[in-house]
Amino acid sequence: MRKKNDNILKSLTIVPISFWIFFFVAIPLLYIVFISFMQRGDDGSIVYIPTISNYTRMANSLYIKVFWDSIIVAFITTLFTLVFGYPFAYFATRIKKYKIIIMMLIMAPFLTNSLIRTYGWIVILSTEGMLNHIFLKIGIVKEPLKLLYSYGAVMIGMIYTMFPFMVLPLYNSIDKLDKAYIEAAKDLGASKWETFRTVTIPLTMPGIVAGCILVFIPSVGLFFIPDLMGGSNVMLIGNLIRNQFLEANDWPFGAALSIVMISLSLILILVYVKIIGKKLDAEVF
Amino acid sequence: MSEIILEMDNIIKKFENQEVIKNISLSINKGEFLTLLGPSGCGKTTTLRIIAGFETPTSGSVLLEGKHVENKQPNERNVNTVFQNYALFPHMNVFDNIAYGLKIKKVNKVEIKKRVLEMLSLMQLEGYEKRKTDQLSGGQKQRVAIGRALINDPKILLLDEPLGALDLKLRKQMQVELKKLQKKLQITFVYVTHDQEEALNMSDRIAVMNEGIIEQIGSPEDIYERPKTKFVASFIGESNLIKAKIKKIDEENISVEFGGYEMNVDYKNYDNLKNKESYILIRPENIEYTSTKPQISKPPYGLKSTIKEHSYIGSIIKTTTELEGGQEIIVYDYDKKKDLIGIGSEVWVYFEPEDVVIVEEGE
Repeated sequence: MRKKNDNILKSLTIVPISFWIFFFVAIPLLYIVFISFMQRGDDGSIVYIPTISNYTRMANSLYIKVFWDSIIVAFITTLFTLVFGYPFAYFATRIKKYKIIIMMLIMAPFLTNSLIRTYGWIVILSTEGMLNHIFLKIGIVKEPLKLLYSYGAVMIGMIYTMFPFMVLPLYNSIDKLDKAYIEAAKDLGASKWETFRTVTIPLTMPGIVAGCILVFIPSVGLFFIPDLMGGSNVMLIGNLIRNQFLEANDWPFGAALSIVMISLSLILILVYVKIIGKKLDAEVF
Repeated sequence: MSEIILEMDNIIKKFENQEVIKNISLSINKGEFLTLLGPSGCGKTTTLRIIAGFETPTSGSVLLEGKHVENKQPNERNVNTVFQNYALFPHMNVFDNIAYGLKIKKVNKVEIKKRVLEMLSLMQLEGYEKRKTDQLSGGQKQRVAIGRALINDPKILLLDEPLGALDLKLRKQMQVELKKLQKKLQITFVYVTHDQEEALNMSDRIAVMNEGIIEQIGSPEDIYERPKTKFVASFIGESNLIKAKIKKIDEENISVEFGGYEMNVDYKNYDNLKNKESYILIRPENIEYTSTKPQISKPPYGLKSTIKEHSYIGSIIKTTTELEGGQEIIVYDYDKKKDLIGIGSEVWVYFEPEDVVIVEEGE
């Protein structure tokens, strides 16, 4: 009797999810693959004649640079969120009383629209913005600094936006780490740093991998931050794709760019997981 | 007089406002097997963690081979711990777990390999070096944990309820193996357990702890045969404790009064003359009962009582009887063939005066 109920419950939960994935993930993705092999009509419509020209068009130094820049920006974002996020998550788990408050503060920005938060950064960084105002008042600079509309500004925006995605999985795996392992390492003669390197990091690797993936994949394709904070000086793959769909009206090329971006991210993630997986098996010394 | 390897003086440990260790002084001899025995929450694990360096005492000193270590980190003192749930590193195989301490010390690879293989053979784990720790049985994990600690040649090996997670049969087997290993290596073992049988079986000396103090420290025989306090008497083994008054102490005898009777006991160890509540202790295996009325109806020859319950516990039958005043007396009967006297029957319990021990109330 119980088993039967369990089965009903299972299908009740699995069926809607499967439908959801099928209609809202699989079909659109297949459609994107499909139109990436079609042609653009003169009026911007899709002409259903198969072609691979959308892909061959990308073999152009201009587009390659856009891909390269996007991956570098995503890589740097991942690196910085990891380097800042790990100590942050580590100490958050150590302050027992306030850890819930700290994690709530990390989550709080999610309650507002990320676009609005990005505008907040513009208010801070722009030429007439708060930061320049303060710098001029104190007298650190004579002329207002051009902070906005640069790769630097884009990086700040990206790191800020992606930070919680890194911290949450890290926090989880550090919090779950049994303190007995750390005590065992110390007991066997390891200093604080040696314990961290040979025990804490390897045992929290699942959190590190999850955090890096959660930050890297969206970072490659994010377009509103480069748009708003990079202006015309920064062209990343996300912006390029958006432009194809909304401005150039070239859906087939936009679709092809999307497919390449998705494949590239997946390949990089696979390579990363492979390397980390090998490292986990290998000696930590 | 054997050499003292560790000395704890007036150790007090407070967590927030709670005094977990009230005042402990303890000397541990080189090469001995010392057990800290007590119920949960008595401070035995905290005491062990102070020796290991995971806790700093609130006050008092810890001397390892005559040097102060109370403020030293665990990695700065040459003692090693076998943890309760082993705490084997899950991301390393058996070899790397055992080699960990040597690798940290940057011993060269050839030497490490040689010593780890020796340790594996000592621990009867040959051929297991490539195994992941989650592919080991409880007993094997246990041996890896001991090997990982012993390879560092610790001055003292600390064991925190290491057999707690094993089943009864394996536990008994490991008790024997551990004791053998300790004798062979001549390393000082400090062993924490709440299992009195384990403590009696393995230890050279036992420190019985209760509520942050050591109630008594001595050999297993001392602790069992000559407990000093009511707590020690009732915690270790089963005991019949009867409230008693000490009437007279002289060279030959101590005369005690209990339940309206007065009798002389042979107990000579009674060195505490403080006017405290005293009890007489008679172990259940030292008492017998009979249905025939004895000629002298007073202790130790015969005390009238009623059979309350018989319970069969394998090798013995445990009988509970009740004296006239309501005091319950437990009797162990090893001769199971004899017919049991029915519940509610009148019997006379008797014992030998030399089996009576006088204990005090304790702090």
